[in-house]
Amino acid sequence: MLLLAFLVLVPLAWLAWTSLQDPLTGQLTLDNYRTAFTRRIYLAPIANSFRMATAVAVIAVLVGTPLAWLVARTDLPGRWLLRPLILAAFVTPSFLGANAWIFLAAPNSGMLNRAWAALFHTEHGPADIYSLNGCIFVIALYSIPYTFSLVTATLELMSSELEDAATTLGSGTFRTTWSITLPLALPAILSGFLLSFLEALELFGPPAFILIPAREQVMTTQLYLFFSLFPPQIEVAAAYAMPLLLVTVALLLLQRRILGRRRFTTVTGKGGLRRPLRLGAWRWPLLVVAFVPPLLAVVLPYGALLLVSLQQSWGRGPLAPGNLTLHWYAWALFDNPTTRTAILHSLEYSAAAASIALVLATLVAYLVVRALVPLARVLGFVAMAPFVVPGIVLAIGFLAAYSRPPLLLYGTAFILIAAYATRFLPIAYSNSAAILQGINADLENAARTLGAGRLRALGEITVPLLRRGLLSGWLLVFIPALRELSASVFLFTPQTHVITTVMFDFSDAGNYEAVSTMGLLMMLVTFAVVLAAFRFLGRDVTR
Amino acid sequence: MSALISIRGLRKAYGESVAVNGIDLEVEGGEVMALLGPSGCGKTTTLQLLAGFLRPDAGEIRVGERVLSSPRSVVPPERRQMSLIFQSYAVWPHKTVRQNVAFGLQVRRTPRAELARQVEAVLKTVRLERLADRYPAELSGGQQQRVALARAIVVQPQILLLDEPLSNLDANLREEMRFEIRRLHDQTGITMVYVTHDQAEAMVTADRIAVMNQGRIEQVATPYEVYERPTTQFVAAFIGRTNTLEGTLLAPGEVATAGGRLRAVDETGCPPGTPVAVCIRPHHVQVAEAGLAPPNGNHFRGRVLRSAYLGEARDYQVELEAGGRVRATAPPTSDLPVGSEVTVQLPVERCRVVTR
Amino acid sequence: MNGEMNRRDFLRASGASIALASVGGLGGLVEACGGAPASTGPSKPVEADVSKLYALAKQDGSVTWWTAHYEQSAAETMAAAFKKKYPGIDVNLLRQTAQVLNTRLNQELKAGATECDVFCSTDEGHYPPLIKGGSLDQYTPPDLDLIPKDFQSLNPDGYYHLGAIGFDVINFRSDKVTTPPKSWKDLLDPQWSGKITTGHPGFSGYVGQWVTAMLRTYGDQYLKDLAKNKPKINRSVNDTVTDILAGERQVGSGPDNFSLAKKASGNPIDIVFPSDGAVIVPGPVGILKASKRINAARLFTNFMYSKEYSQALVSTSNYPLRTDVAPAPGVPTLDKVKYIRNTVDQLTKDLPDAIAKWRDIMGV
Repeated sequence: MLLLAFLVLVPLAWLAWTSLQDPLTGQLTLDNYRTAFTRRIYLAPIANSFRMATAVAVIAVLVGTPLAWLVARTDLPGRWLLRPLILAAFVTPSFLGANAWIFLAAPNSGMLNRAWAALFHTEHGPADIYSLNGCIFVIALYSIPYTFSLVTATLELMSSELEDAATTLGSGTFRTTWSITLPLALPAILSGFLLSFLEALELFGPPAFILIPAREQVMTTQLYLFFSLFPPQIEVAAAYAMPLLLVTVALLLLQRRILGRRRFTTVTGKGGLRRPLRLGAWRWPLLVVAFVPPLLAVVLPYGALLLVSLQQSWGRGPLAPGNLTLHWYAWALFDNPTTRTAILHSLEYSAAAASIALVLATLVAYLVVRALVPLARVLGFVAMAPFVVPGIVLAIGFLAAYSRPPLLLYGTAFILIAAYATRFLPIAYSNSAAILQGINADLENAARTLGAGRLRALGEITVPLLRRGLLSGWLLVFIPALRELSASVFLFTPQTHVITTVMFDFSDAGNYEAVSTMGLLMMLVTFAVVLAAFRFLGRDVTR
Repeated sequence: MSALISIRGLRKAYGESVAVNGIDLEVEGGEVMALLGPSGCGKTTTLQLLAGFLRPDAGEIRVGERVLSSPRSVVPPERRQMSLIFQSYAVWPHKTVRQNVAFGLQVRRTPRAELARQVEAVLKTVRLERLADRYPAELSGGQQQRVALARAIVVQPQILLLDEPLSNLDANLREEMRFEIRRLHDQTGITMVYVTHDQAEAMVTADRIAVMNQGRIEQVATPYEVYERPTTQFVAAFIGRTNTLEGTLLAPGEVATAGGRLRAVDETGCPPGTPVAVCIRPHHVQVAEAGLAPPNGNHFRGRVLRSAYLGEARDYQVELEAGGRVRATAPPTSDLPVGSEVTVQLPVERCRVVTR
Repeated sequence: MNGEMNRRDFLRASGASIALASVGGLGGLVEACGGAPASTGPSKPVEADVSKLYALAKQDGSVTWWTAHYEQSAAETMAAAFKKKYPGIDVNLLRQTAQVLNTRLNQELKAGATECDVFCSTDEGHYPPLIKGGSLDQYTPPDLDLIPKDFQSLNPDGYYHLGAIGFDVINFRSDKVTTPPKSWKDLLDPQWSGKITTGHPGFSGYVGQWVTAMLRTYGDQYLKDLAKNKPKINRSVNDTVTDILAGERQVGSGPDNFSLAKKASGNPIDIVFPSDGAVIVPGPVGILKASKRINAARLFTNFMYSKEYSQALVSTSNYPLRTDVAPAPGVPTLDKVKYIRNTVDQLTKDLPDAIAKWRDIMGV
């Protein structure tokens, strides 16, 4: 578990240490905590952050779970299309989504508002994206895929017999779903809630773009302010960030308590077919409802981005003469070596990080779920801890920890890969743990009685059964790594540029045409990878 | 194959609760030993300890000369040459029947031709040769059970462990499978340890039965012995139906009960004053109209509380005058009305003293 | 200059005039040629002979330039200009916001080594700690004489010099606004209610400078009246340009260079140098003492005072450093600009207050 220590504990320890340091003398002190938590202007953002995170997590779960059920267990028409669309939402960096929604719903200039005003002859459209609710909306849209992915992975492993049992007792479709199917998917749902909550807490992009004009601060924008003071108040920032860590621990304990006693084993090796539930007359209304989230998360925003990317100068509008052009695409793909290299880098680093994180997470999850070592639970906490540390802060931790010999990683691609692997280890871990919990230990034990060692049993029995879930796990790291920004911005060098750093630079410079173009290119690339991955993986093994 | 399993002083606790509380057991090579008892008696834990999935807190498990488990060290399951049939069958859903069965041989690096031959042979034995290329999801419960069996025995283990293998099957299938397992044993001669809570199952399949209760073994004996000559109240009650009259031992073979003095067969060897019980099977209890002279021995007056006609027999429940109730199984022709006064006779040679 | 500037501590620059400099306030070497296009006549000052430096620099082979002064493509234009004048020397460019660059530089120095040779932050306050830590090269480029005297001694000991000039001005939507505000005071007029866009002084150095200057000039009442006009507050000063072009707002307190760049590519935006003073934002340049390519670094820094550099600046809508290079059409030369400059003292004392007041009055 040396790797775990290297990735997680060292930067976090540095963080804790720093929070106790006096910036001038280096001596230990609690002053930083006092500064961080006794001023009202610092406390209001904390309240905002938690309000926002709660709202986001609730929405994400309330929308993601039924969507997952519709796709994984019913015969909803068009679900083959729904899945990739939801994945497309996943690919999108939230700051890109935020910008797209600003294009769509800014009070005066938003495309939707203008359309409404033109249609209904009003002065303004009704939407104002610059609000706390607007920010919640945007973040939630791009957070739904977490719950969706986790819950579908679990539901796909369940045999229909469990539901049949309820049906024979007279329970109708929806009641069965409510009382049998969903509770069995509870570990996945809770994990999804947790992930959405924690992510919303630590996001910087959407609040930076949406909330400042809305006159609201959250913890991450406040942290950014700490860092942008001169000299940067790193120590206070570290102290300010500590509660986020404590919150994670608390939530994890809570999750454990809720899931603790019950058994969620659904894949038991008794086979059992998986039959899709027939929706009957409900198919078409549900189809419409099911496509709303992807519409809002993907179709509309990318439509807006496409429109912007096709214009030389988007402020002038698509109808201005000579404004429609493919100039930016040509520029990004052919003229500009930085953007091309950045795309390649993103793919390489994210893939490497995903593979490392997946292997590590599955091993740890295995140890924890099968309770193989004493204090396995502690390992579980360690695996979850990085998620709550804001990307900026984690990056600083990495920078400090690994900029000295013998571990001189700074300036190389490895520090980026390590940072991504660490940041998203918690997702991979949640995913692996949720799936492992659904697989009966007997399946491995049977192999062991036949002479296979633990590792072989894991590899030949458990892993193939996990295959589809593991692929989800890999993608759950690969894709966020692709769209990661806040840590990348500290750790990259001109030689290791990635797509998001390039995009952020453009947005900082006000070049939204380039941002939109890069964003669309990134989505295309990611889609290609995901499709390839699914084709490679093949059919569902539990048939 | 001959193996001697020797379990001494085995103990396993989970925090406060003790699952296995000091067990001694010897299993002869080639025999079928059943671990029988209600849920929570520790039989499954014992099996897990045997298989090497758990480490004992005290005691040891020995097979032949080798010590396999002790508090200090446990030989892992993959090196114990014990196959295990799980309650959930644990048939791998992503492999075909053939692949499931072949697995153990693959681990042992059996050459391909030989492997194919052995797999075919065992599939024939369990009569699954036509379903060899199906996936478990396409099979019924009974068929999956047979896959598990085939998989377990094809590797010719020293010992076969079975954990309530039939409890998930319906009654008819269960009966069929009981005989199937017995037949397999007779054919191969593997030593089997068979965990079940179903007494009928144990009686049919086992050579000897170890009756377990609350982490301890109450009695180890052949099915006949355990039924006819139970040594404790628990065993007597658990195996078959029985009447139990509690009392205190006055002298060997004489027990003072609430209803009076009873004489019974006493093989306990307990001193006078020991709290004991007297057990007698319902079909040995004789009920007759009151007034008829009893031959000798234990008799009581009572009244019929209930009478049920079962076709094969008549079942009475009689309230004794001195207190207590007794069940009696009489021939179908007997027809004592409910409420009638009767004499209940408990033949001495059918009564047994058991410890409490 | 582009990018984000953050709160700064300006070093006491003894030569720096605290100026509401007016026409003719700059004396000395600089020829004030108001409005004349860039020319190459022999009457221009001769640039120092740097051929020896060039020879040494060629041996270094490359220079790593970290800058927050311009946006990416403008910085690339500068780099290209350098490579054209001094072939054989490559330029490794890293363009980031000032804060990011500074943090990274400091981390690398703490770890013992940095890649950076030339460090251009938009925040003068980043340099004193570097000086104290002995990280900066004490070097005065020979061509420093060729820029306005007022800006020649940003740091009297020569540890860093002027690298860029920018202004915070009034920008506006040129096709919709026929009579733009002419001064900062004009912005308070109720006709602009709901139409104004600004950045945030906590996130943007430009805006910090502007707010400090306004508070000093007009007092707290300025902010309060501005608040009544319900400005849209963004993070970066460049966001004002985006807002104006999108039609979200009509007028703003924004950066000169980015606004002009957009104007140059045909967008309906223009700027006004406010009559009560544009807020000037000088950006420093420093050389790392431990640089392995110090000659190339020195050559590059010197290059900033060349005509080619100023021409490249103007071509990317930035303000030239040389007075013999004219700024973009319609933009006044330095001697004709009425500008407000925040001194070190004023910034040290007033900027944190300014931010606090802004947060109180504006609510974010």
